[in-house]
Amino acid sequence: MSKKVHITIQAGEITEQTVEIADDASYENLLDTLNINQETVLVLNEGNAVPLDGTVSSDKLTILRVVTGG
Amino acid sequence: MPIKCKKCNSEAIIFQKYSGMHLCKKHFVEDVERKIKLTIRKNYSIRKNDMIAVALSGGKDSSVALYMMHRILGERPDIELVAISVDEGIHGYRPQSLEVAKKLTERLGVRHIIKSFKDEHGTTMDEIAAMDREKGACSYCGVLRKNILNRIALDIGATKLVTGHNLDDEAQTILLNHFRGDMERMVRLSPPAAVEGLVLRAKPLRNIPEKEVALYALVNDLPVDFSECPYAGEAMRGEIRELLNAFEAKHPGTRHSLLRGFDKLVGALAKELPPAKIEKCRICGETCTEDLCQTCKLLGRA
Repeated sequence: MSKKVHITIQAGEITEQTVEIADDASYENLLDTLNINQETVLVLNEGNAVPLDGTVSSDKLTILRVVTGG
Repeated sequence: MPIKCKKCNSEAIIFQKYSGMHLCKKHFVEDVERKIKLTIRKNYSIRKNDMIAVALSGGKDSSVALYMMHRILGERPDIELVAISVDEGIHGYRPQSLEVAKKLTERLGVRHIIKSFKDEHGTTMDEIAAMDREKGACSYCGVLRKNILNRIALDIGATKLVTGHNLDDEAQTILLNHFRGDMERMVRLSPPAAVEGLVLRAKPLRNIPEKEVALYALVNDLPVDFSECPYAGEAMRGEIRELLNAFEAKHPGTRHSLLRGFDKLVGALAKELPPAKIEKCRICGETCTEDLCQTCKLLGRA
């Protein structure tokens, strides 16, 4: 089974997209799907940071890009 | 089920892969602060009547560095903290982050000095970037900014100059120096010795991963500018960042190992490669290692 998660990515500008992930997917799995390195972002659920080895439980998440050039 | 903190029963906000620990907000903040205090105690002893300048851009790293120095030393009546910001003249980027920097210094009640490339060097990064030039924009920016930071810190009588370099920055620089075979530069990366004309640099965040610096800023609700410089992209550093991040994800602790190895090695390296002779630039009088300093060279003042 899979589920859909709405993602807002904040990296200077803001982009949005919806991804489909496995029911038991972790945040790490989600970032892998999006091809985002886990050292470069914070994942926020309702504004609060989550440990990336946890299972995605919300259908709405924000990815804050915190590692940029310069 | 939410994951619990390793040290209490609260909900974790981070998994530190390199330590194997899940931490809640309270214990994450404690962990970061403990490491920063330890770094300062081990490498940059704070002395009575120190005046500590903090280079502040308004980005997460320098904001956390200033916030922490204020947290640790703000109550000491004999120690003064001064924030120094440099306006490089980068349209659409620096004005915003300087506003953010001002918010933080106002909130903390810290004296704040702002100097510009235009006033100090007679040019701006926007002008330099548009020029026909040999080096990348970051090379000019770094040299010209450090020149101002050091000079202002000296002028006001600062005894230390704190920068926001984090673990990722340090690990990248170590690897970069290896890749370039530049061991002289490697030696200069170590906690510095006192040299007349150069203010002692201190990097209290050198043991904190970049992502954790950002999380610390976020949970403490610090005003922080997360935007990226339009000229960012010293090509090789970008590649090394990607390489290291990929390695870190697969092999947690890689950055820490690089820094630990470097710290063990650098003493021996410094004995083999004694620091270059210190001279004064014949044009501007700045302390440097040749008869002409990097700033005057880059600005074509020969």
